[in-house]
Amino acid sequence: MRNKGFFLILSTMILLLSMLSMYSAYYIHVWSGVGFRDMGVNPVKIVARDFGRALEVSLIIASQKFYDEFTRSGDFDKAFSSANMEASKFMCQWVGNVTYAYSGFDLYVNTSITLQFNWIDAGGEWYSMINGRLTINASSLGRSVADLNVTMGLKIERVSIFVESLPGKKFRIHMNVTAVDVCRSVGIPLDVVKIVVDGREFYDAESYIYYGGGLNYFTVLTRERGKRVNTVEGYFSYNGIIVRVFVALS
Amino acid sequence: MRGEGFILAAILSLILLMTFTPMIVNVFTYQSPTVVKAPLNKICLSALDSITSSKAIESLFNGDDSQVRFILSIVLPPHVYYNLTVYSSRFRVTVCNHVGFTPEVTLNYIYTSVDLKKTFILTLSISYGG
Repeated sequence: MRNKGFFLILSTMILLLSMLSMYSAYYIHVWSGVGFRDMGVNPVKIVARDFGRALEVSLIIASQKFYDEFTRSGDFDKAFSSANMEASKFMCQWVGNVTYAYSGFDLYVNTSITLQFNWIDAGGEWYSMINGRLTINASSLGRSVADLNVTMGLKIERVSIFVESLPGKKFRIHMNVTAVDVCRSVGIPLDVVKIVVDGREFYDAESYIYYGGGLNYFTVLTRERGKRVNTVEGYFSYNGIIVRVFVALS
Repeated sequence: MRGEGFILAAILSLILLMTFTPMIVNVFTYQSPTVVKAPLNKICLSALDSITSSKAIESLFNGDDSQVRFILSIVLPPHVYYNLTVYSSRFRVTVCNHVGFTPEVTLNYIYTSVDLKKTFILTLSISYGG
């Protein structure tokens, strides 16, 4: 009988303790306001959403730096190194801003970027791309809360060139350039940064038509010293991202 | 047997007390539906989402705060005080509709402008007032 009473009291105490702990846990959770996911504000989502924009800006900055260095020196490695440095600098600043803005959430943000510029190899595809990885660890949760891998950029899938000979040693160069947004896999219209025909630079096209589906048509009117056009170089941009195509006609 | 009965009664009383206490608290803290306040955290986040998705920060950077004020006046409920600070390297602007209020909610938001090639930190503090 005594054992039965003791067991009853013990089980009652366990039951009471468990109920009290559940009850207090509920109230601590409600009133402390530290559960950011239940408060409708998740900094991880905000940071992840901004990561794509930051990556795009770092590619724009890198491709512009690459364009400046490459057109000035013609040294691919030197231009790439400068572009990579600029992109990394921007991403470092971005991580610093994120850490500062969400310092109260104990978030550890890490990013890594890989730039790719295929501007020389005339294998039929030219591109300026960036691949970025974002990992966010929350020390308060003791685990990784985000792991994103994003690739974006501008790719030229096809280029076809037709040179039309005109009277008076003039040439009209017709270019069909098919461009794709790598991230969204959709065709995009292009802006002309510069078109170089046998060393002569043109900063605007004579005419331009965008047919949709990524197909851009340009014409350039030029007067050449020789009897034919040998090389056509085109620098095009989309939302500030620059890419180069090079076609040798001889 | 009597002792066990008392213990059982005590447990039942405790369970009943713990179950009904929140209900009693809710009854005493009841507010009429006309003054029920929406969760300010979500309102704050929604306002910041609207500002950043409408290029209003780009306008603010160029000295025009009318777009930001317009969005805040639409997204925030009436009688809400706000104070928005937007800062970046060598740039800091504050837009507010009331000076010196005690914020109920403050939210930081990170925004990278592709047009300006800059990252901004937006701090929006809001509070019911008036």
